[in-house]
Amino acid sequence: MATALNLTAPLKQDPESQQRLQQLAAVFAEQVQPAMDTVLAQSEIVHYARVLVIDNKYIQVLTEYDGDPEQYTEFFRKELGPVFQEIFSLVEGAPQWDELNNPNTFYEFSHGLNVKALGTSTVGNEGHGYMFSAFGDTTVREVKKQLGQQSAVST
Amino acid sequence: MQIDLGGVQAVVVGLYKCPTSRHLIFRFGDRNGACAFIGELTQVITMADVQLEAVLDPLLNIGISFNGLGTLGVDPALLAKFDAVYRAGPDAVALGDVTGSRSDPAGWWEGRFDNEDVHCVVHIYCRSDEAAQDATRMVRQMALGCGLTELIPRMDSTILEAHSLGGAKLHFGYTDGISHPDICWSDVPVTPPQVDFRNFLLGYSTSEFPSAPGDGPAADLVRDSTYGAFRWLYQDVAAFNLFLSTQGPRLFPELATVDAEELLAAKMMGRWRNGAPLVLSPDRPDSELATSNDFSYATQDPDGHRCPFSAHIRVVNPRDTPLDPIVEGAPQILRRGMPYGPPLQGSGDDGADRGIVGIFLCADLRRQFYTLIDWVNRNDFSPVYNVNRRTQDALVGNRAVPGASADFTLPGNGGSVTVKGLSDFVHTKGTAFLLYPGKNALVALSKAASAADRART
Repeated sequence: MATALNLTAPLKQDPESQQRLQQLAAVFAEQVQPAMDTVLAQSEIVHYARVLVIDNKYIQVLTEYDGDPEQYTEFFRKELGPVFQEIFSLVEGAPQWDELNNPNTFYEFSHGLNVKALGTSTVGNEGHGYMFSAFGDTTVREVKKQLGQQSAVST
Repeated sequence: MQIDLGGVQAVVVGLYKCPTSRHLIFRFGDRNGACAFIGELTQVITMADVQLEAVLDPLLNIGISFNGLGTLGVDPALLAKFDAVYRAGPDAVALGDVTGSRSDPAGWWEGRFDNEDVHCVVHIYCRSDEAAQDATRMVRQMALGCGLTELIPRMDSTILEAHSLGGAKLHFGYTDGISHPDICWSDVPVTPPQVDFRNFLLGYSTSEFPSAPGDGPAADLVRDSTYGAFRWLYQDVAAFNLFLSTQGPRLFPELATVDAEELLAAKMMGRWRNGAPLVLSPDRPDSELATSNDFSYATQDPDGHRCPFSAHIRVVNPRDTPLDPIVEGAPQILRRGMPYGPPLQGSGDDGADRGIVGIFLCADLRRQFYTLIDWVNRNDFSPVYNVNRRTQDALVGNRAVPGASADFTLPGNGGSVTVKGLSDFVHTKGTAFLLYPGKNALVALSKAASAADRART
């Protein structure tokens, strides 16, 4: 089954950070979304992804993905570094990007913010709680193959 | 800058040729005793600036667990900077040691102790059993005098003792030790196939080769040290032989039974049991090629007709195989292993414990060791697996991993043939994550207790 990332982080409440949050929200559709689209499609392991802000107090990055969380996390640190740099600069208690921008620290910090869902962990989400899937453990690649879509990476 | 190999434990740098090894597992007592033990043992640890052939028995090395470092009195602020995987200890999910399977950590160390109790492992390598016995006695005396408790991992009260089977053979009959990373120990641009020493040594972290601790006093402490996964792996030789005898003749009916079994064994490993790689010698175990490493997959066997994509050596060392965009590169690991237990006589399982005691060394347990384990348990790192990305390493995957397939596919000119029902030929019986400290780190650790006392006063 796909693995859930429920990254949930408290946002800084000072006026300058809140203003930058509004700026991020304002440019998200035009500047962030296309970059995410490209990278997520290229990865071929992400089922769904979205970024939410709750009452300007919390930011969430929610994804469902296949496979190894380490490779997944490292891929996005490399490919979407500026996006995460901007997001984490708004997060209360986040280390400076210079400190975060390496595989170990980035993995530990981002997965430390991964909130456990309620309920008993399902296969593939060990330790992270319940997640329903209508498609069992079907992967993105398998779905695309069934749909007749070309893989981005041909053999 | 050239790495001073005198500061690195020899097991990291060289391949021991000793026919006997013992692996003594200890829990520290109090801090002062633990530090005293490290101090005494440091005097006899084999460092890498020696000619291994000229060194008298025993060759000695030590790995220390995160709990061990804590007991030694290392500053918690420094410990917090260590690799998170090392700090957490072995994770069953990441290892594919599935709950309820024969590799379930609940059964590790034959239930004799918990992983948290493992503070250090002393590795003894000797040229004779007598020398190994003497060395064992010496280490035990040191340990006893310093208040350590030896942890015995077997129900029958025996320790982990490995013996060469001769000819570098392993229990499945394969020849071991043919391919190892060629490490450049200088701080110069590295030309492949050489690999940078930072893949294995701590304290030299860069953005290209990051490791933890990355900088500061913690990195200073661990400079020239290495992380290692110490693994006790059982090999089910009877199940393996049964698989070969059942499936080999069915797959290759044109061959004599014994040849069919040999070819299937070669397809599972990617090399014939004499070591000759299938890519270079697809039809017979050419003895001239028994130690050959000069081959590639993308150019010489892109379709897997010679060496199947899920053959062991193609999974753990994919060479020039194209990787998925999400994969940052093939992880580098140093393997140090030796078979233990008696060879299986006859075809049925005799109930004896046999397999490999191995140490897998690297600078980043998550990005190197766990990634490789992940690839073994699910071949999903390269476009060559696009036909079926649920397959596992034919030889060592845990078939109970959720979503994994127990099929083994052999591509061929006339289409692929799939063997169903791969068994768990290898089970995990114990794993400990250890730090193999460099010389300076050992000296510092031997003084950690007094440093901690000074800090308190």
